Parts: sequence; C-alpha cells; structure tokens
Amino acid sequence: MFGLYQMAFLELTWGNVLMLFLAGGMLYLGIVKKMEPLLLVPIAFGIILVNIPFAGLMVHTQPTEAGAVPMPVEVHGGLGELMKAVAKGEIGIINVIYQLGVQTEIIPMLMFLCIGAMADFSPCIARPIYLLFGAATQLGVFVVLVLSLVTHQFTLGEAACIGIIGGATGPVAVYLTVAKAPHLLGPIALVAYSYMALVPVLQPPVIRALIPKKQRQIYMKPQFREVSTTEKIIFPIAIFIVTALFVPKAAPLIGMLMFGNLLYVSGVTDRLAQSASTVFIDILTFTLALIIGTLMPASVFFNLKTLAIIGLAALAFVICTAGGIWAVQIANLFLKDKINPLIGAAGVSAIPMAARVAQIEGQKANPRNFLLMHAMGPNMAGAIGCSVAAGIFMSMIPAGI
Amino acid sequence: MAGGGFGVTILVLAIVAIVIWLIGLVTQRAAIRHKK
Repeated sequence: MFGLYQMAFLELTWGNVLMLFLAGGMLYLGIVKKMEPLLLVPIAFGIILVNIPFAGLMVHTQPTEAGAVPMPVEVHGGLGELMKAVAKGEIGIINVIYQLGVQTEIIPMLMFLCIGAMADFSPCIARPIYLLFGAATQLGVFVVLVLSLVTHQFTLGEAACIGIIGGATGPVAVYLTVAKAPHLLGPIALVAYSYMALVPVLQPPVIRALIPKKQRQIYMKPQFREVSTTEKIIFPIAIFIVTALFVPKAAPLIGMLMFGNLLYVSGVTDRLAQSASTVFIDILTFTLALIIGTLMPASVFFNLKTLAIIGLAALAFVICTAGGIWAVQIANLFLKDKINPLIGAAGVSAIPMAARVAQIEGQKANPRNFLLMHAMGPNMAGAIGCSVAAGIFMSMIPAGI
Repeated sequence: MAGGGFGVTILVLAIVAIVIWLIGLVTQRAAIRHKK
C-alpha cells in the first residue's frame, strides 16, 4: 500500500529516536544558548542525517561480530570508483568526503593551518614561561591514557586517543584517532568537540576547588613588553624546527600550525592569512563537523565503549585543568612577580573559551584584573603541547595496537 | 610510557621556551643598539 515497504518507519529503532533527541538537544544548545554553534549545529545535523534509516548520505558497515563498531563503508580506488559507488547507492556522498578528506588527514591538517593563521602568540613570546604551562596542561592526557588501560577495555591506541581529548584541540584529536583508532573517530570527535563547548561549565568547579580566593585575586598588569615583528616571524620557524627535531612525528601538526602563523605574522601574505582565517576555515569546520555527526549512528553511540569514553574524557579535562593550575602554583614558589593560577587553567586549549573562563573567574575574584591576554598565552601554548603529545603517541604506539 | 611521554612534552616545551627567550633577548639588544 503506497509502497510502505520503501519507507524507513519500520526500520527506525529506539536508538535512532534517542539519537534524534540528542541531536535536538545539541541544536538547542547551539542555536538558542549559542554555545559553539559553528560546531554543534553541523554535528547535530549530521547525527540527524545518519539516524534516519536508508537516508544513504553516510553508509556504515553492518558488523557481524558482537561489540564490533560499525565503520563508514570504504571503497578502494580513486575518485572515479567512489563516485560510481555513490551512483549505485553503495555509499553516500559523505562517505566520499570522509574517505578523501578525513581518512587521509587532509581536513584536520588544513584546519590546524587555519588556526595558526588566526593565532596570536605574542603572550608566549613576551613571557615564554607560558609555554611551560601549556605543556603541564597535558598531564591529563597521559593520566587518562593510563586509566583507560587500567579498565582493560581499551587498547593502547584507543587509550591514547581518549587521553588526547583532554588537550581540547579538535584537529589533533581527529588526526590521532584517524591514525590509531579510526573506529572510535565518531565518539571521540563528538565528545572532544562537545566538551570543548562545555569548558565554561566543566572548568569553574575545578578552578574554585584548586585555587584559593587569595590566589585568584593575584593582580597581573594587562600590558606585556612589546613584541617585535622580527620575533613574531622567527617564533613559528623556531618552534617548528625545535619540536620537529625532538618529536618528528609532531612535525605535520606543528608544521601546519606554524605555517599558518607565519602567513599571519609575515606582513606580506595577508591575503593568504585572510583566506585561511575566514572562508577556508569555515568550509573545513562545517565539513568536518557534519562528518563527525554522521559517524554517530545509534549503534556506535549506544555502546559501552562510548559511554566509557564520555566519562574518561571528562576526567581528562579536569586533570588537564588541574595540571595547568598546579604548574603556575609551583612556578609561583620561585617567582617574585606572582602569576595568577587562573591562566594555567587556560592551558586547556579550547581557544578562546578557556581563556575567557580565566578572565571571568579572575574578574569575579578581583574586578581590577584583566587576565584575558595573559590567559591566551597558555591557551595557545596548549595547542603546541597537545600536538607534541600527539606526536609522541604517533611515534610510540605501533600501528595496529 | 605515560610518565616518559609527559616528561618529553615538558622537556620539549621547556627547550622551546628557552630558545624563544634567547631570541627575544638578542632581538631586544639589537633593537637597543640600533636606536643608539
């Protein structure tokens, strides 16, 4: 009757319905509450697209083993083969973009280039100690790696990808997960980007628990020493050479970040930096976010591993925040001009949300304090630290583990 | 492995910080000499 057998109603599961509600919640947070709408809106719509049976925009495998995670169907061959498979209905158009853009790591790398083209590392150049705070923030990455292994539910590669969520650098999390645990890309990327949007909710309780009010009141002068154009130009080149020599596997990420930054600071490639920091990153953002959403059919999300990832990732954020705060508190033992520990919390590289949290908490404790520019130092340094951590994982974890 | 990885991260960023500090020192001194 009217081709009911062609409709998707009978194939719609409770899992699909719950995912549609989850997507609705994310759309509410993005559109109404305006929490990271550029990420949450495309991710949410991707979830809707993939949880309507037979929609066919992103086709997943149907695993036969218990507990196996469905993956996007892969087609071997070039673009021609992929488009033939789309025409036959074997895969969807988003499978093509996933295979050519995400599996090849092109999209996360280009996003990192664009982030570099918007980045201002002046606070780090003026006060290089902020780089150390960005490094100390990676504590949560390594602690959660160990905790994930202790649960005996995750392999080393999977545990590393869960830990890296704490670094709060989306492209780095995607880059590492595609390399070491591609079957977990959906949950890990969704959790990573969702928690980045929730930094204003996750961080303040940790901040208030670890930083006494007297320390939160520490006043920091809003001005830095002036950073010359020469320093700004040498910075990305020096950072890349030093980190690539020590951690060669971090070179792709750091290289892209610093290349983008060089375009921005050189003064002669403003057009390129402008394109990278506006239209190009917007295209990459909605493409990647849509793909991340389509990696979350109900069968992937309602899985014990995904629920464990949600819990462990929250812990990673908390311990990373703590790592940054403790680094500043330890540094203050040796410094005459004390640093407000709030800026250590901004080492969680959710740019610029974590820096804004430090600014808001700082002004609550001391209305004279304007910490935003100081907090941007560890905030940007956290991106470098997270890339170095990912590079270490890339070199220490063999393929297939 | 985790402890070593965290240690390497700190070490690399510490070396980077020292390099950046030295570059800042050299460029600032060059700027002062240039002004004189």
